[in-house]
Amino acid sequence: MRSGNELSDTYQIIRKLGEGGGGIVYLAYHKRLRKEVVLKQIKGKRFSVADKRQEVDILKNLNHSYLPQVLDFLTIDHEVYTVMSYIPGKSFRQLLKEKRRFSQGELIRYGMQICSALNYLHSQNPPVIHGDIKPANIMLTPQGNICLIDFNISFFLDENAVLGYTDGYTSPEQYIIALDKESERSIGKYAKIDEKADLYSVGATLYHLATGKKLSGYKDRLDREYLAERTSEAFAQVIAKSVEIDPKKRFQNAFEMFLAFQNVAKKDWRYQALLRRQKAVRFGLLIGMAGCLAIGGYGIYRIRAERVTEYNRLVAQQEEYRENKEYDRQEEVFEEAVRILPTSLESYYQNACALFEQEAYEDCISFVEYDVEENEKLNLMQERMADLYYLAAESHMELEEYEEAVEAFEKLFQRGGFHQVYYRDYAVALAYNGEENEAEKALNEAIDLGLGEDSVYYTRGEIKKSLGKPEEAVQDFRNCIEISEDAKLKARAYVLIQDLYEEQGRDLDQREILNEARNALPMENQMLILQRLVEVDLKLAGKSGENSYLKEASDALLTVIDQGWDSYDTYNNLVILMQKQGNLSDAETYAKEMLEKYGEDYNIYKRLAFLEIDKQEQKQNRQRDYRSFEEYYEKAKKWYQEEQKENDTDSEMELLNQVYQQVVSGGWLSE
Amino acid sequence: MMIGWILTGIGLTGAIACLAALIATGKSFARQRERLLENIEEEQEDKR
Repeated sequence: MRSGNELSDTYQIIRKLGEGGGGIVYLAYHKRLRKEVVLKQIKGKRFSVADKRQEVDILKNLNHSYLPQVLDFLTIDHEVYTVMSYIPGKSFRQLLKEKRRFSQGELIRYGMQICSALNYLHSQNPPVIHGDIKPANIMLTPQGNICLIDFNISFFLDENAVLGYTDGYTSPEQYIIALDKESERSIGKYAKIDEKADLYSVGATLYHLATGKKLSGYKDRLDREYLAERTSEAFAQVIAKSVEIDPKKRFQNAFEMFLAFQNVAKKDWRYQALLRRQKAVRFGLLIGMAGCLAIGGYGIYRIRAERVTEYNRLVAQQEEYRENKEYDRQEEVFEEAVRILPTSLESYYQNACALFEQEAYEDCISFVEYDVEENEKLNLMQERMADLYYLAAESHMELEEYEEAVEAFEKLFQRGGFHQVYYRDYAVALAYNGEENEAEKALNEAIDLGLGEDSVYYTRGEIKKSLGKPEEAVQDFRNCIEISEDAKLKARAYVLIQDLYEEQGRDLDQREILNEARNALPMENQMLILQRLVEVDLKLAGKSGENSYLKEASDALLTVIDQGWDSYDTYNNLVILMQKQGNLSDAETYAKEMLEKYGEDYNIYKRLAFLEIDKQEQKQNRQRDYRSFEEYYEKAKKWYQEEQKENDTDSEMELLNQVYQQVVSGGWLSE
Repeated sequence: MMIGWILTGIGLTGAIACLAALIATGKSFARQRERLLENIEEEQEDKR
């Protein structure tokens, strides 16, 4: 064909562009599309376009920025031509001839674009292998982008077609197959050409562009050092990998090679060093954070441990204050302990014990039932809960609320609390509640748990007492006293015998048993005995009029004071007793001790006023001086007015008023 | 309980500081890498 020739109504040949192994290439004008196109002859075995419709359609549908568009296929004089869009610009072969040099950045960009185009071709179904990548077949457009032209369409259309080869760019396997086919020998170990052959050609092409030197053949190895000098070690590494003789050692697909080009800069030693540094910093920060969290965790552990230690110290302090009967301080420490560890029952138990010891039984019950049971912060499953229920039960017993006591014991046993003492007292509560059989069962449980024989006698005594069998009860208590070595238990037995005698109105027997107890028990267990003895002596003194009982009673009170068991009532009773015995100066001494110990109140001044009256009455009229009496009277009156509750009158104060009026009317004092 | 609180304070402060630093490195390190890559690529462009 010649310039100016028209092909059908569509194409007009402009000029011949070239001629190569693939065939003749013309520049033509597409009349309908009104643009220049390239017509290329497909050299090789003749075939009909109609027979290759599917493959033709694949080629015509190819659409990529870095590939020329295949527009059509023509058959002219039994020769098949492809029609493709014309790509302006220069091929890299021309640029190499012009001694053009390329920067690494440019080479990377071209490599990525070629790989992008190849990736597209290789992804077709079936894959389209270019087969002839070399500088001559890569165009550089005026926009600075590549276009991969002239891929071997005949190979795609005819599986029996032979791919050509170009020295310096063709992969070893393609080269060998081509040579084998030329020599009509059977194919060696390279059974097929695939994508990796194209990737070899890309590497070889870029090597040429980078160094200006072409590989002379597939056996020629690239000068890596020189390449690295011209570009960089990382770039040289990519090219070296792409031109490996063994396809398995090359990039396995165009996308992999694309990524390798993309990451060349990242392979730079400086970038790698920066990555390592940053990783080290991050790792260090992570370790630091873990370390700080560990320290923080340890700190929290320490806080809790220290909190527990402080709590235990406060609970021990509560116990100490209880022993010293410093109940106000105990309560302060209790509140502090609860603030530190609100979930523990220990401090609550100490406080309940304190209330019980102060005989504030209703407060003790209320404390257990409300402050403890209804406290959401507390874990009521703790073992200590059984002890708290025990205190509540005992408090109910003291208040003679036997049914409530039984209920409290039953709650106790729900918390465990399987202790012989608990079963013993449960038996007593049941007995007092009228449940004799249940009481026996509970006592048997206590015996099974190892309740001692003395305790068994004691409990039987309580049960008999509750059932109104006093003689049997006394016998059981006596048996307990006889065999027991437990002073506390013996003291309780003595007191209960005294209770039974009191019920029977046997005053002298009460005195006798209490004196027996006084002789049998060690001093530290005699507090209740002495208090009871004072009451009995006062009663006997009242009934008999004998002063000896008063003396005994006051001796007992003095012993109570000496032992430190005294209370306000102890002193008050002592003052009264001393006065009754006519021992006025001692009585006055103890009254003033009361003032010091318990502070001012109307009762003490009332006592002092009465003592003063008695004192003055012992004197002759001339020597009497009622000024002290007046002073005591005024104070008693003042405090009485302040302390007086509604409808609560003290008959002794009324008597004192009368005495005062008598003294005034007698002229001893002026109004 | 002082030591416990001090340790907890130090631990938590340190952990928060490390966490803040880690979060800060997310952006700053990426910028550092970008800048370095740009420098390297510029060098590559200049090298012919």
